Amino acid sequence: MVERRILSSAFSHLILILGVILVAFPIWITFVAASHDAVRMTQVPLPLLPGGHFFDNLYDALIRGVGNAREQSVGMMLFNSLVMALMIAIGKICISLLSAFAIVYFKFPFRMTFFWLIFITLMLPVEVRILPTFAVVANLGMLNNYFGLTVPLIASATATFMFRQVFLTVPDELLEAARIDGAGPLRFFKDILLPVSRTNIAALFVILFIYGWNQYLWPLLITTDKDMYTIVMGIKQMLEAAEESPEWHLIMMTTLLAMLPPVAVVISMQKIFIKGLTETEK
Amino acid sequence: MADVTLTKLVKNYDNTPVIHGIDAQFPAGEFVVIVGPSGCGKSTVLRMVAGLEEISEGQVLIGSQVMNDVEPKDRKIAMVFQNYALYPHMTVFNNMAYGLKIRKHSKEEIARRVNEAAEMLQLEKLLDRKPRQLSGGQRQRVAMGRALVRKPEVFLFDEPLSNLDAKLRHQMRVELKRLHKQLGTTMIYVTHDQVEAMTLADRIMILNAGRIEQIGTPDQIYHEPVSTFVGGFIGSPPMNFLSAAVDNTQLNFADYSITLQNRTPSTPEVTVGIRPEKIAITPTPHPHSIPVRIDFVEKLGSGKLLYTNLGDEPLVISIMNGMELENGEYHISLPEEDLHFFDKDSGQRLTT
Repeated sequence: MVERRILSSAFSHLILILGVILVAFPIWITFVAASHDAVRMTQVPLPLLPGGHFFDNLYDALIRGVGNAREQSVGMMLFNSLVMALMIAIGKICISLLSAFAIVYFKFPFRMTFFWLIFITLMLPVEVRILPTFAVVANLGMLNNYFGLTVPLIASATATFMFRQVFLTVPDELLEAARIDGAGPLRFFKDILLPVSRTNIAALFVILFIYGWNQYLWPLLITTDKDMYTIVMGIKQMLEAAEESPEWHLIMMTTLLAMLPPVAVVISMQKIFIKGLTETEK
Repeated sequence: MADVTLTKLVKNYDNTPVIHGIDAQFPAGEFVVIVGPSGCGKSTVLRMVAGLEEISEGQVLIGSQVMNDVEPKDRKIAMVFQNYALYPHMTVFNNMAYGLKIRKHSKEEIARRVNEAAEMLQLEKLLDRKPRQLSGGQRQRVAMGRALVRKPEVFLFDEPLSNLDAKLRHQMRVELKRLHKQLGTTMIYVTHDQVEAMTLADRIMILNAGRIEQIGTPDQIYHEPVSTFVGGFIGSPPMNFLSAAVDNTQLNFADYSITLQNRTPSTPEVTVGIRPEKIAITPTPHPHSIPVRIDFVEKLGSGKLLYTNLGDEPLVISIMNGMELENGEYHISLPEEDLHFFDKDSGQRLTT
């Protein structure tokens, strides 16, 4: 910056540091809590520095299992969440890519009607249509399996709308050149459209993966079998341990583990994610 | 090589006609330039030939085959677009090879054809690059290469040089002309730039508001424009137009009159056209000369453009270097044989 006065520089640093503390402190507490044993976590004051039980807790969470009777494995929950998040993200992307392709590139009767039909489902998230959706899923026998967990969440107006906008920025000449080159619609979709919107797909994948990972209400309704629990609802269940006091050290360990996959996805796809949101050249 | 025939070609957009029945025949091997102001429908005509635009009425024939319901890919045409329309994620090689891959040519055949085209267009060193790593002129050459490898019967160009700077445009124009000589393929070229039309074309088709204004060789179009529209569109600076009244052999302009020796237009009121370079200008008066006042001189390097008025109508005179001229009083004469007469109302050429 041009302005180099010490006072204003110090002030802006102060604000930034406060911001970082605000964001990072809860995560630090989580980490600290995950590294102490059960006894220490019941004493006041709560520790602010890490203890020596981190790996014991990790072993408990992943191998021995958590919950009243040590019947729940965090590993299993992580796996369930991963499958659910991936199915939702990939399913959403596939469906909305295809529907956006149809809406942008094909002329059929009531094209705009269909577009608006898709669009107004934005106003009907799962929370609003939860009863009928549950009834349908139950009648189809999809309780307690991955399809029940994901299918109702897959149809996505947001993603369809976004891909529509992306496709609209692709110059018409590209389609015409491909037509003259002899590419049919699906060939054009596969060879030209998908590669051209690659970065947008990646950006959307990041957003949708986190959306899927953070699902709480729907898995809570759909799963009664402990083997199908996802990690987000798993944490909540652990808090409600009936007679005992909650095992904070294990809960925090689980929380820490639950944070890792989204973080990994964001970090590994960060570059392409930013490109997808900012790049305009087609 | 194939000839292209358009018969009574009509295009309607939502019942509004934009092309009003075009009849034209382009013999095999000809370089045809379709030229006209923006919005005259020239690109629409080209796109109907390409099959990218539906034909409302009439027919497009390539060779002897009616193409109305034939898919673009089966019309044996190749097209070069104004913004190149290269596939951004493919290398230059793949851009050129894509059409051949779809047509399931063998790998060796594809490589041979692409390399051949690349050599012709000096693209050999760029085959591994992506379009965004290329300059405008290089992209344009890739777009041409993509058309070349297809070995089409007819090349279609939609304002291919419009996005290039003036120098590069000149260079590409020469290359295009050379390419046409080398290949001998029928080429249909759309542009709004009359210089491109004059330099490239074997024949020019001038469109005005969806109708053919004139078809002819560049010479015919330049020397015998059928209307004031053509005279004003072709030539830089364009033809001068002066209104005049005809009285026997007298041609009366606003303040001056000249006597015609051999030609007499058939209507009493005419628009007289004269090319800027045909006007003779001298510092001293002579018989039949008209005094003018030069307001403004534009130096082009190879010559000068002089701006003046005759009556209240503007007049541009183009002269070669060699004559020292300043703003001031001069005398001009309008040689009779270089005058074009047009109907005052319709703008159509009058026979004399």
